[in-house]
Amino acid sequence: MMKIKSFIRLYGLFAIFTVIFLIAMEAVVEAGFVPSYIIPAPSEVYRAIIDNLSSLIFVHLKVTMLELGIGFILSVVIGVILAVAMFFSKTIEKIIYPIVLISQTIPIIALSPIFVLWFGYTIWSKVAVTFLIAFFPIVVGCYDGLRSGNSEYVDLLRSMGATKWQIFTKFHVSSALPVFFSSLKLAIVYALIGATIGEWLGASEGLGYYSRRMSGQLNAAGVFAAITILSIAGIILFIIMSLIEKRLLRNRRS
Amino acid sequence: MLELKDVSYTFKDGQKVNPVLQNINLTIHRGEFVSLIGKSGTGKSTILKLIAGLLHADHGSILLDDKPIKLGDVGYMPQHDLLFSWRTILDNILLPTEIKKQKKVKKQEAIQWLEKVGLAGYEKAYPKELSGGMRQRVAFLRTLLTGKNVLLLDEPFGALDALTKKEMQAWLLSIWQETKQTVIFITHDLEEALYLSDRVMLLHPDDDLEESPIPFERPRSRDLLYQQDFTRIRKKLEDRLRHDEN
Repeated sequence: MMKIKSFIRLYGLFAIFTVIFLIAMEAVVEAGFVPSYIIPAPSEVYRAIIDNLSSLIFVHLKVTMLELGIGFILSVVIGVILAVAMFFSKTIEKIIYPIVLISQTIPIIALSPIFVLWFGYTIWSKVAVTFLIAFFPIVVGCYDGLRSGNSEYVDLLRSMGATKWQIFTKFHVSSALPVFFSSLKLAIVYALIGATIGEWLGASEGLGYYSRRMSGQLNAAGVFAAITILSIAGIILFIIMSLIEKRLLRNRRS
Repeated sequence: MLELKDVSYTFKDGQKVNPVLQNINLTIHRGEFVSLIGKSGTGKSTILKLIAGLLHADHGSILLDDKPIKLGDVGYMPQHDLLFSWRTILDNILLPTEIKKQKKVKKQEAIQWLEKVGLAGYEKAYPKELSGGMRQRVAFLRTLLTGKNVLLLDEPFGALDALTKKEMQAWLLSIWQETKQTVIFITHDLEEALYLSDRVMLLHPDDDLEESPIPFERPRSRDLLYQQDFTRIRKKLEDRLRHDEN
């Protein structure tokens, strides 16, 4: 009961606004103010989703999620390794940090021909885009998290005769988690964008590919159907990440 | 026996050079309770950090039983409780034994200590569930479980309210009488320093260490605070401190 109440308090206004907005959109399109190939009526989008539900979910969403999964895991693994290396070695930090920064200033679209050249139209060209987008917040979040630890704790452990490695495992890793998880929540949403963009650049499956194909057919309802599913998927991924965060950090001081 | 011989320490940060301590000499005997007082910024905490091995003296030597001191030789309790919020109370106090890889050996001892300090049943609780005084007791137990003969306590009760502070003082005395460790205790509270210590060392801004023996018998009760001899020493130290302030 309490849960429902607090849920309404948190999201009630948003829900009311959304319903009114959807009804208004429906009315505007219905009345013929906007042609349906520019903005589809919400009911049309709903039909477009329901009619193609199984192919949208079990073909396209599945492929997009697979690209996202591989890309995200790769960026976590490589991002964490880089961040830890930078944390331990000033030299490595001085070499790597600028590269990490520069990697973000290159427009991904400009890189796409190279990715296609390297990986062809396989899943790996999409994974590459996903990785490139998601790994930046992870490296920065993990590195900043590791550095954020209060040096008084380090002194305390040193006074007990702890080794560098013990200080790292017993203090820095845990104290980095809150910042690290903030970056993971960003990265998982970025990764979804990455996978979608990757599919635009060349694919035969996936929600990004689907929305582009629908756009080519001037099927606005189909485009919006794919966008709706992508957005719901993004929200669910974000929630999953938040739940893992809450679970792992539940004993911390607020 | 702990000896500081002609210890000097200079704080350097880029161009800034700040001589914190110069030619400090101090001898502390085994089992002694010594308080270190003095106005802020005279370098009291620096002395503790030097003894703990966290800082290195520029000149002079620090010897523990005739051997140069190194990290891990003494138990050090910093100003803040510095409990690890992601560890249970038991895991927090077992931290030093974990680092020395004897966690299993000490677990029973740790649980007994928790009972002794009125924290029975809190083994599995997390620091956020504890009050300020309880947290401080946990931090002290953690220092105690380092198993070292010398304990350095840097203003452990500074952040506590007056009533809790009194409880903690009585509590610390009872434990110290049981374990007979050497304690070096920093405080800004003169009453606290006199009530707890065998000797009070006043660190002057010119790095002179002035010694005042506190000759009252133990175990001490709080009535001591109202005796004439006690207030006389307190008055004297208060005057000396005020002199430093000006």
